[in-house]
Amino acid sequence: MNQLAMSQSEYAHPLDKYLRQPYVNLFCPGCGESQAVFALLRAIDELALDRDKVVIVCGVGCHNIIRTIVDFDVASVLHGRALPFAAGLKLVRPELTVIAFTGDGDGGTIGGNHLIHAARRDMDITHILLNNFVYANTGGQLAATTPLGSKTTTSVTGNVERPFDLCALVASAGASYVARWTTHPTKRLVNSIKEGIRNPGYSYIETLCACPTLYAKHNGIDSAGEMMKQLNEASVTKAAAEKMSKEELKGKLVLGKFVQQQASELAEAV
Amino acid sequence: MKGVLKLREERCKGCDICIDFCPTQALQRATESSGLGVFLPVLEEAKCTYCELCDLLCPDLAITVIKPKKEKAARLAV
Amino acid sequence: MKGNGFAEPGAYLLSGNEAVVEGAIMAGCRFYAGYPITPSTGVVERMSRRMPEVGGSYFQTEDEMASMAALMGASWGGAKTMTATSGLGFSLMQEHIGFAIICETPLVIVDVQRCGPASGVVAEPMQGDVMQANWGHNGSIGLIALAPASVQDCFDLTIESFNLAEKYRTPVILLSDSRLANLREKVTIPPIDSVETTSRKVAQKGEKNFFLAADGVAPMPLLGDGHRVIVACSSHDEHGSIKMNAQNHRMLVDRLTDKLARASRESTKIETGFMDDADVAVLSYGISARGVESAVKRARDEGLKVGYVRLISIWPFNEAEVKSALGGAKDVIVVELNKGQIVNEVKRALGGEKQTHLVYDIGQLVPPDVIYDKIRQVIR
Repeated sequence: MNQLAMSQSEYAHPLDKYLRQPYVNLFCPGCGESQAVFALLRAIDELALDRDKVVIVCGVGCHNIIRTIVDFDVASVLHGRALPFAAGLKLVRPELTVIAFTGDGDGGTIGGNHLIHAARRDMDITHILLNNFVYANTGGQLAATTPLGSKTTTSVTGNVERPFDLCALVASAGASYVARWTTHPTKRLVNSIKEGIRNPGYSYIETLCACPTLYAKHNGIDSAGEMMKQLNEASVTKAAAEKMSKEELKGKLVLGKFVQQQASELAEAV
Repeated sequence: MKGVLKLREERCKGCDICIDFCPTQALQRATESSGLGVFLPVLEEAKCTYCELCDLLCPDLAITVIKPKKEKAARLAV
Repeated sequence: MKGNGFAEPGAYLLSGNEAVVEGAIMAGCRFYAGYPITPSTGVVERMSRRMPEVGGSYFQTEDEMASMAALMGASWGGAKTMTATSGLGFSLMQEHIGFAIICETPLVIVDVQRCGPASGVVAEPMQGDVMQANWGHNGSIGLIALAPASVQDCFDLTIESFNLAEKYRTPVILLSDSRLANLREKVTIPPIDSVETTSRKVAQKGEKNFFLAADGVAPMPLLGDGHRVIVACSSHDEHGSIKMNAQNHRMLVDRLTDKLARASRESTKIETGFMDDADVAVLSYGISARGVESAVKRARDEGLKVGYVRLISIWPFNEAEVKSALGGAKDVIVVELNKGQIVNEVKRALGGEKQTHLVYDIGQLVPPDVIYDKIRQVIR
């Protein structure tokens, strides 16, 4: 077998130009959220966005490690408050591409009220919500998105609460673009992020992420790769889900584009 | 023209995702850990189809894959 | 009103809430995010109409945390921003006040105080948020707070609040109250060119080492200007890099408090009357100062050596200037609408050098007669 040769100067990765220097990646080995960071960079690269006009707004959680990785303007705000911060910024600087990048606890639980109203207002913000089914940054506690029966540090005998379907929530509140994907296949996620950025309304893209250090360990999943495989195996597309019974859908994750419509006139007015 | 697969060892955390998902098992886990204590992926070039999956899935941007047609341009561009 | 939305110079009959809005517009405020709460609703309603008239934005949010987050975003986009609230809403804003302090964000919060705690009494005044204003955020660094005592003050001090917020890159609180909010008085609005306004120093692209600025106030690297800046609620070093160690954080805390101390030395406003030979001083601020002047004048007419001190700057509490304003008085009567908040600061500043007395009421103003009676009692 041949050894891989390390060659720093010969072939830079095309995304290297978007990294803060020196590049240090504080995500755990195999973290799905880290994969999502690079999916976002790929989308920005493919859209050839003006780097000085992109602002990423993140909250508190593992996801905010993005702030030290990407060489963009980043606002790393209070827990749960990324969306209204993004709204204020967008209102005074409408020419900027404002991307909210949050976890599921940050964006969907403490930030839940803002999620509902951002969707209702359909403002031109692209919201990438990383769902790893736990509050990872604080050690792996139960979250509103933890699947029924899953073990966490605050549900050691198995979660007894129903998880939240955040896509259904934002769709019913009025978002003009709503989708859910896993991190693999990457291109599917990247294309959706691009669509979301191009949509001049509120675009919500939920990304299901492996948490190898906490969620996986607490639920008997050996590795990042194994959790990614299980997420994909548990997924069904929206089209297939429509033909399945409630029983058949138990334990399944529905992926797809749930809403893709013309951004409302409201999006312009606000 | 050959494609290129380069690993930046200092970025690799040994998560094994590239190894787990490689469709041709061209990437395998090293038998000994690196100087940084990580079990790096090792490439069997003959099996590699330069499908880019390892590049796309790596959570650390540690692998750069350049498809055969684009190799020359990529090298000159750096 | 002019075609561009500005008020024509002249005399107007306005309420405190209305004057705050006109002052903000005069100061350059072009973004308002808010949540209605009695007795501040007059501000939010007038702003919803006036902001579009002057080319600004009005954004009504789902709660006070969203208002503050939006203010932060808009301020970092370059706008002069404001919100108004009352005690309860003010409590919800504390986390963001801390955020504004740590990353040095100019913004103005008008707290139209009412009886608390909690819902308390919706429409009656209480100067209950004096301590909350400075110490309500975690970390207790401090900020600038001003107290208007008239509707003209509501206009003038709102402009001053914006100027201080911009100059020192800090949140500024205007401690109004429910009486002042709805009181109608004459306000003179000057020609717009005659009003001095301050705007933050904005960093130029490529500028580095912000925090080493000579005057202690870093130029602000706005979002969307190509700085690739990290605006964070976390601790950071002089290059703006996130740092999570004790030594660096101590330096940050020292720098922020030094900046406030400088703001205090440079901008403290205190008004005094009849203090040159006063044996007794009556100290007050905001709405409770309304009863003081006439009580003091009555006592003076009877030959009593009394004077008054009206604090306009509440925070940072400038001990040296307050002491100096109190002159040679041996007794200090503090009048406030709470169970004693500023009186404790005065006591602390005096270090036992003078006798302090508290005259208070809750939910209603202290009438001049009550103050006069206290003066007589103290002066013996």
